[in-house]
Amino acid sequence: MSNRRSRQSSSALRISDDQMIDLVSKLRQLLPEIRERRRSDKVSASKVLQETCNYIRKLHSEVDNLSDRLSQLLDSVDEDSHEAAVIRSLLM
Amino acid sequence: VCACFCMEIRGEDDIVELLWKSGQVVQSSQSQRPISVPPPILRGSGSGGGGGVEGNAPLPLPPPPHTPLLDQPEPSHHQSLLIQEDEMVSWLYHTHREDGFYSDLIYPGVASIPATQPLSSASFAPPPPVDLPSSQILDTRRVANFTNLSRFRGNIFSGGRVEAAGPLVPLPVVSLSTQVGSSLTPSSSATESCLTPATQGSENRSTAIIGGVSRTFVVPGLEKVVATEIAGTSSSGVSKVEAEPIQVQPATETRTADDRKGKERQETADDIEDTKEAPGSTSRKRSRAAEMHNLSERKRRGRINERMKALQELVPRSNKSDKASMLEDAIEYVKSLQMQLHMMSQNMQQFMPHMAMGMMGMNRPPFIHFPGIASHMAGPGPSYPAPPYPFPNNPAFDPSRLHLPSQQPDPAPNQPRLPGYLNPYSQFVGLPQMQQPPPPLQNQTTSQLSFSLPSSVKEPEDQENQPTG
Repeated sequence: MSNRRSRQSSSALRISDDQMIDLVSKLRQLLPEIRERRRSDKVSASKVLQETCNYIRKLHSEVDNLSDRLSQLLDSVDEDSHEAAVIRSLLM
Repeated sequence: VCACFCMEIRGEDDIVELLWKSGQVVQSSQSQRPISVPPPILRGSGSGGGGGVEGNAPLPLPPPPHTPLLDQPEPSHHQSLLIQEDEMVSWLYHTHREDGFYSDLIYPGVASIPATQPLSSASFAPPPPVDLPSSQILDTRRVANFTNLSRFRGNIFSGGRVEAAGPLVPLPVVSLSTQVGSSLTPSSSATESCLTPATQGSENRSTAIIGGVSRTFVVPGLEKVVATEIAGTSSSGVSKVEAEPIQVQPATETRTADDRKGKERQETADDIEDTKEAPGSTSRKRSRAAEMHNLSERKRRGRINERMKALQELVPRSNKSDKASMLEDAIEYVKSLQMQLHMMSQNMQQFMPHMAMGMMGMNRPPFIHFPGIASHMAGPGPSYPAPPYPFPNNPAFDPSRLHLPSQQPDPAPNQPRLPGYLNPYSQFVGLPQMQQPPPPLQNQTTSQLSFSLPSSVKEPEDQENQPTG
C-alpha cells in the first residue's frame, strides 16, 4: 500500500516511521504546547518539528534574557562573593 | 525611505532615485540593472508610488540580467516585489503565519494585476496577466524574483515539494509565459525571449514554489493539528489549479481548507501510522487514495524535511546528516536549554530577592562547586556551569522528566524553596556522596527536596516537574 514508501528509504532521506514516531513523541513531551494538545496522538511530525523550532527560539530568547539579567546581577554583587561565583557559573 | 537604496545606487543610477522619489519619473534610462536589484529588495510602502522605498535588508536577489526594465517608473512594483521577498523570508523562517496573512499576499496580488503590483502577485502567485507596459520590467524582475524564490525555496523545500508541483509546472509555466508574452508583445520581444527561457527555467521551480507556497500558506494557518492532510489536500487542489494557475488558487485554498477537515483523519493516520484507508475499499478508491497519499506523503515529507533543516540550524553542533541523530541531538538540546533556563531563572530568583543571603544560607557556595559536581556526576546530570548543550562533562541527559516549567518556581525566600538544584548541591559541596547516579526525583516534593537529600540532587529537573510553585 502506499504506506510502504514510508519505510523504503534509509535514514538519510527518510527516517523510518518508527524512528520518527519515537523522536516525535520525545519532542512532544518537551514541548509544552503540544503536550497539552488534546489530540496529542494526531500531531504531525512536521508540526512537532515546527513547534520544536519555535520552542528552541523561544528558549534562546529566554536564555539571552536571563543572561542579561544575570549579568546585571553580577555587576551588583561583590566580585568575590558567592553570588558572583554562582552567577558566573550560570552565565557560562 | 528611499534614501537608503538610492544611496547605494546613486552612483549608478540616478534613475533609481528619480524613480523612487518622484514616482512619476519615467525611467528612460536604460541602466536598469541597478534598478532591478533594489526593487526586489526594497520594501516599499506597497503600492506607494512615492518614494516610500525603504532601504532594506540585503538583497537576496543578485541583479538578474534583464533587458530594459524600466520602461515605466513603477516603484510600487519594486516595492511589491521587495515586500514579497521579505515576507517570503519571514515566512520561511516563521512558517506559522496565519492563513489570512498569505491570503492577503496572494489575493491582492491576483486582484491587482493590472494595478500597481504585478510583481507582488507574481511573487507569490502565478503572475497574473501583466498588461502593464512595465510588464517587461516586471517580468524580468519576476523572473529574477522567481529565480531567487527558487533558490530560496529550492533549498528549503526539499524535493518533495518540487516534485509534487512537477505536474503543475507545465501549465502554469505556459500560462505565465503566455501572459507575460501578451503583455510583452508590444514591448520588447527581447525581454520576452529573455524572460521566457528564464521563466520556464525558473517557473518550473517557481511554480512549484508557488504551488508549494500556496499550499504552505494555507497550511500554516490551518495547520492546527496536522499539516499533512492540508498539504495533501492542497496538492490536490493545486493540481486542479493547473488550468487556472491564478484565479483558481484562491479557490483552491478555500477548498483546501474545507477538504482538510475531512481528510485530516485519514491522512493524519495514514501518514503517521499506516495507510489505513478504508481497508475494504474498492480498487478505485484505493488507487485514488494511493494517489492522494503519494502526493500528500511527498508533501508531508517535504514539509518535514524543511522543518528538520530549520531545526538543524537552530541546534548547535548539529553536523549530523542522519536525521535520526539530528533529531536526537535536537531533543537533547531542548532539554539542556530547558535545564539551563530553569537553573538561571531559579538562581536569579534567589539572588534577586535575597541577594545577601541567597543560597548562602546553605553555608556552601553552591555553584562554585558545580563544575566539580558535574564532573562527579556519573549519570545524566545537568552541568549547569558548563554550556548545557555540549555538556562537556555529562552526556546528554535523557531525563525526559526534564520539563522546564515555563512557570518558574516560586522564589520562596526561604531556603527550602530553593530550587532543587541548589539545595541538594549545596549540601553536596562537601559531600562526596553526590556522585551517586541521579535517582529519579519524582517523589520529591520540591519543598522537601531542598535540603533533604543528596540523592535527590541529580535530578533537579524532577523537582521542576512538580513545580515548587
